[in-house]
Amino acid sequence: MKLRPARLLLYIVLIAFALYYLMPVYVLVVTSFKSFAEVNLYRMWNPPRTFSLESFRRALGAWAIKDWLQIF
Amino acid sequence: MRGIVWGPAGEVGPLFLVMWFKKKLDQVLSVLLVLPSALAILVFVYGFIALTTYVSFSNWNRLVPDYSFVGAANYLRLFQNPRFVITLRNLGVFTGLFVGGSLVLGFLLAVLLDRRIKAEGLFRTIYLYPLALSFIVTGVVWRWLLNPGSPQMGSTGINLLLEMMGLGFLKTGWYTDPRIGIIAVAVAAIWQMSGYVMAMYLAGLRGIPEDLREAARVDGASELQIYRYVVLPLLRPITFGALIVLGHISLKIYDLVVAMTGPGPGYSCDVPAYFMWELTFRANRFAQGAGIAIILLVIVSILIVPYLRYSLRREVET
Repeated sequence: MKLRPARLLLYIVLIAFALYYLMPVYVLVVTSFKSFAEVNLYRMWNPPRTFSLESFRRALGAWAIKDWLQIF
Repeated sequence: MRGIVWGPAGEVGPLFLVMWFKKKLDQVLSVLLVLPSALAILVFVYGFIALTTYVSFSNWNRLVPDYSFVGAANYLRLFQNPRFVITLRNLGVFTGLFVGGSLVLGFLLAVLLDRRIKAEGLFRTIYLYPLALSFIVTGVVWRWLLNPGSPQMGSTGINLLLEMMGLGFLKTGWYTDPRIGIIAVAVAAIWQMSGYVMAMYLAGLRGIPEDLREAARVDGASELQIYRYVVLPLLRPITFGALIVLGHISLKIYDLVVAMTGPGPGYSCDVPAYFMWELTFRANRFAQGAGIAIILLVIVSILIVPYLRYSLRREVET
């Protein structure tokens, strides 16, 4: 199937909006894999240089699964 | 015909008596089953609205309750409070931008998606997913994105993105700029809710039979005219429904402001709900806080009551 110009434009617009909606999630995901030292507003768009799960460890620690398990 | 009358009177046989009891039992049971929720709503919704109204006319402006009646003094003081006037104006700006922006963007996306797109499901999901986030998450992310950075260290977030795309002249202070603070909050809110409006409109567009558009085309209408004179009028109930949903979210907005900006510079991002919380639980001015609550209730009622009348009338008709 050959794309007519109008059709192509339509897809470009749709993809542009998709990027707009995905932008905050990109920032969230990228930031979540950075180490604490690397998180910086001025480099928020850069992908993480070193892959780190430290933030998840801390967040789950704060959640304190063990404490909850003890209740039951 | 006295025998047919419900009730034990007249020359009724045992069968009538049994049926009469069954009918009575049904009535009593149905009332009993509704009673708990009706009572709960009566006490916990309308009872507390009444209590709040009463407190708003009382003198309870410190920690210790004081229910002495002072008339409209709290309301007068509220309207003399410059911060409250600013929050009301912000609420107006925010509601206009948020509701208008979401409706326009949602309709646009729905129209674009309705053109037999490949991978429509993917686009639909991407547009709709922000709805699944809470306003707190949205607020935190957009707080980073709309952080303007500083002249010494360079731009951040959206401003940096604009710079990289060569659109540096579009850079602004976003929520740190007192003139447009509330607009930055509206941008985040539109991001979250426009996909929802898109889904509503898309469902509506799918419900419009192709025959109607075809008929308009035969009559010589252009595509634009079809949308203006055929599609939009048919989508009016959806616009109305979206208006109500967005409107009541917008008027009660609180969590987004808390997570994103707080009151902002010069109260430029402040909204009544946030001011109400601060006045009540930080300043212990319970009566004035209750006053804001009642004012908000009145504003929301102005929005909701026409909708209730409209939908009730339609239910009667169908």
